[in-house]
Amino acid sequence: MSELTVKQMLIVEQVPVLTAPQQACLLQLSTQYGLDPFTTRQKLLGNGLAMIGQGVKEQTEKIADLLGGVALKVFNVAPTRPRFAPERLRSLEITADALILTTQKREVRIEPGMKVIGILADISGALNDKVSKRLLAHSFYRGTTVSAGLDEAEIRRIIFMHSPVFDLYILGPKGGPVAAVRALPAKFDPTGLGKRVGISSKGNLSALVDLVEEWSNDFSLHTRFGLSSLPGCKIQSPQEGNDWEANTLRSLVQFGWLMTDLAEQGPRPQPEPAIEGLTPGGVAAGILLGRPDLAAGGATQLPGVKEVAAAIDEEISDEADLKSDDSPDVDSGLPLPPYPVKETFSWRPILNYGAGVLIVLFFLVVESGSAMGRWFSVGFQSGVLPGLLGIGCFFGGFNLFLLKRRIENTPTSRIRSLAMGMVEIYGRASRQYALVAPMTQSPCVYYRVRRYRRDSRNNWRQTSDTNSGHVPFLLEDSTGRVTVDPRGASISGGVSQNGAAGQANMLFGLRGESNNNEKWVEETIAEGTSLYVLGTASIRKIEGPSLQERKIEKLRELKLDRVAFHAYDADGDGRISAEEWQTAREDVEDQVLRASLAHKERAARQEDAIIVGRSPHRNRPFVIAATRSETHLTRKYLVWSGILMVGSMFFSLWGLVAALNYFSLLR
Amino acid sequence: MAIWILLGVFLFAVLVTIFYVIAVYNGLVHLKNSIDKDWSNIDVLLKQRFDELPKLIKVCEGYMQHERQTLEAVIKARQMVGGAGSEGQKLQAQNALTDTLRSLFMVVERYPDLKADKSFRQLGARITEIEDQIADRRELYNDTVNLYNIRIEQFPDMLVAKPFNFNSRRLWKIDPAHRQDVSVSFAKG
Repeated sequence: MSELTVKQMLIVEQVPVLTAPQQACLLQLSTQYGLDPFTTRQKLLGNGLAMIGQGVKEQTEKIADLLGGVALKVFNVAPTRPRFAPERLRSLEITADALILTTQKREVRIEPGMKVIGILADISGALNDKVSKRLLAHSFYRGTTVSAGLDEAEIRRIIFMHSPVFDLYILGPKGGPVAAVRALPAKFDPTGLGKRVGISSKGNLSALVDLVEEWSNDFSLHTRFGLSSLPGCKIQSPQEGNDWEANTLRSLVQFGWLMTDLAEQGPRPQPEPAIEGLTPGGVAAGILLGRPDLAAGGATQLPGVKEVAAAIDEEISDEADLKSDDSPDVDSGLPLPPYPVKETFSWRPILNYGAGVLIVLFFLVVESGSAMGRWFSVGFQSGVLPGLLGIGCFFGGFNLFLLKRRIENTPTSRIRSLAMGMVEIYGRASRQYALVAPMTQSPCVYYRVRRYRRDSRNNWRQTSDTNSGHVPFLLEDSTGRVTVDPRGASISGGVSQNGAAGQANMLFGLRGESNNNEKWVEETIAEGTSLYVLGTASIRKIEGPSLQERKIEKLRELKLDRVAFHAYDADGDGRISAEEWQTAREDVEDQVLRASLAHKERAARQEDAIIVGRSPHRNRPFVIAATRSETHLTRKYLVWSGILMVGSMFFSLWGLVAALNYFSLLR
Repeated sequence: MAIWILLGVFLFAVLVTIFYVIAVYNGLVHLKNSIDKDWSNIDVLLKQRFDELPKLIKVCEGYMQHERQTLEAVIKARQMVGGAGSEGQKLQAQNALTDTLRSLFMVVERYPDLKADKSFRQLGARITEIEDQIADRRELYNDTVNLYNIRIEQFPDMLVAKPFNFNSRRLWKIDPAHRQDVSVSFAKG
């Protein structure tokens, strides 16, 4: 069989958004090669790799030239059939000159300079789900067609949270894999990791990935198994049959071999710059005129056609989406909300749940007539329990009164001149993250969702209570804006909406039937609401990856960028020696340090420098209220304080009378 | 029975009164200390302005060879701030410094090269920003003093303020010269 008749696979690296020449290229592919533009567009957008088509080399070469000409990374490879599957790793050992991996059958050595391909995959499909949800979030919540990408660190974190598998393919000097090893968490002896060994099996697997990366200076790690649209590389879910896991692992082998093919054969060079004047409008105009030959810019030279082409360009360009995303009006470019951080120890939930448990216990024991029930009964008859309730109401009311006075006694600061410490500010809330209320899908700076279910007595019982209290937002007045971290705040005044279970997420058509036995109540503070904040201003601690972590990430990126990587090949032998690798590491270290210093200079904006949040002294109030005015808020506190005080007097008198009766003092 | 209930109500009222007095007293203490804190917070910004000035003067010196008088006035005002002892002297010195700075920025208009200098623009913007913040914090200080003065004269807080000697505080006042209208004259073309 000649080289031309070998079946080739045309694979592209997906992009988050298509540029105008890439859009134009879709139309050209459609007219010249009959590729459906919508399907091709879907294939080009994403986070992984996608197969555009397969066929004889002669044909795929032409398509590859077109795609390469519009700045797409294209691989035109003849796939190799997997000759062997990875062997299970049992143990490992680090020697002076190699990393030795011991499998069921043999020892595999990784020496500096060896080319290694790593596949880190999650076989549970959770990563896939996460990316799908992210895509939905971008399409619906943020109103952008720009595909949402997860960065490598995030992908890695998700993989290690679920079912990670690490496959290694060692490439021989003549090309092609010579050995393959599979490492699974808790299935290998981690003692060989030395100082890196930990108590977590997934942590040990992560340490192994880092170790291999450190040992092989020609290491490529692929983490997008399942995200890529490649033949035979699909993740199966448990619903698809009992042998889903075996099938997924088989797909993983297929994916691994394909990655070795891509590494061996490399992407096609992009010698030709993007075709000048090639725009979707121009191509469409050429097709409309029945002159595909003029599609590559020529049609727009004809009188009157240029304007039509420009109008078409404006309508269909994704770049317009990108531009509008950057404008402050349309929002976005907003990062996605951070994950909730586990709070440090607090008595509050214990007291809340403790009080709830005591009340439930009380009714249980009173009804059952047990010994404890009699104690409660005595408690009420003797006036002790009403007295305690009276004291509780008294202190509750008194605290509200103190809060009211504190609010009245604190003048409102302007945001641009905030001093550190207790401050009162008033302004308009805006989102710092792309936060959206989960049930009503509305953009907001804060939400709280409580779910209820009917119990056997037909009473509503709360089953969950979630909120976005960990997501900071911005508060803006006429002088500036500042970040507010709502963790630990007493938040009030949001708009409340409720609905039955099943009414949520209708936008996605995930559930259509409502359930009368379940309901939800969602309280939101919408973007643009006027907010009152009484909290503690402090200098913001900028959290992020350490210099070391950033250095490792940069090195990883360098290894993936073949051109930049081989720029360090000083002697031009095609391999990176230990000395050359050392130079690359020093360069990256320098870059990271400079970037860090530049970032510190930039972080002078007030919202980056100051944060209003809860004071470390927990007795200081932290109030966030959606309110028309301060007076409105203090009036509310006064009313509640009064109600509690009246309640306190009522319970106290009840307790007094009950005590007098119980001890027979009323004669 | 009724006597016991009346006694209970009386005790409750006494308790509420005691706690109310505590709340009012603590509130006044909080306000009094807030006034001192707000005043100190103004000082923090004045110190920042004081520290920024040598850089500004250094940048200006290169361009303004013919404006020694203006620059020396700024330097002198800065020295006065550094050497001021009493609160009154400090206030006077800060006001003088604000005036000389204003003159300096007016004179700068005659030096396009200096106006175009990146360092000068940055320092000028920084000092203007600090001036704005000082003005805001003075307003905040006056707000706090005003709240405090109203509280100690208002019923029922005055019943607590008088026995515990909470005296009224003075608002921040500007130099009387700054109250005069600014006369603007347009030269006839």
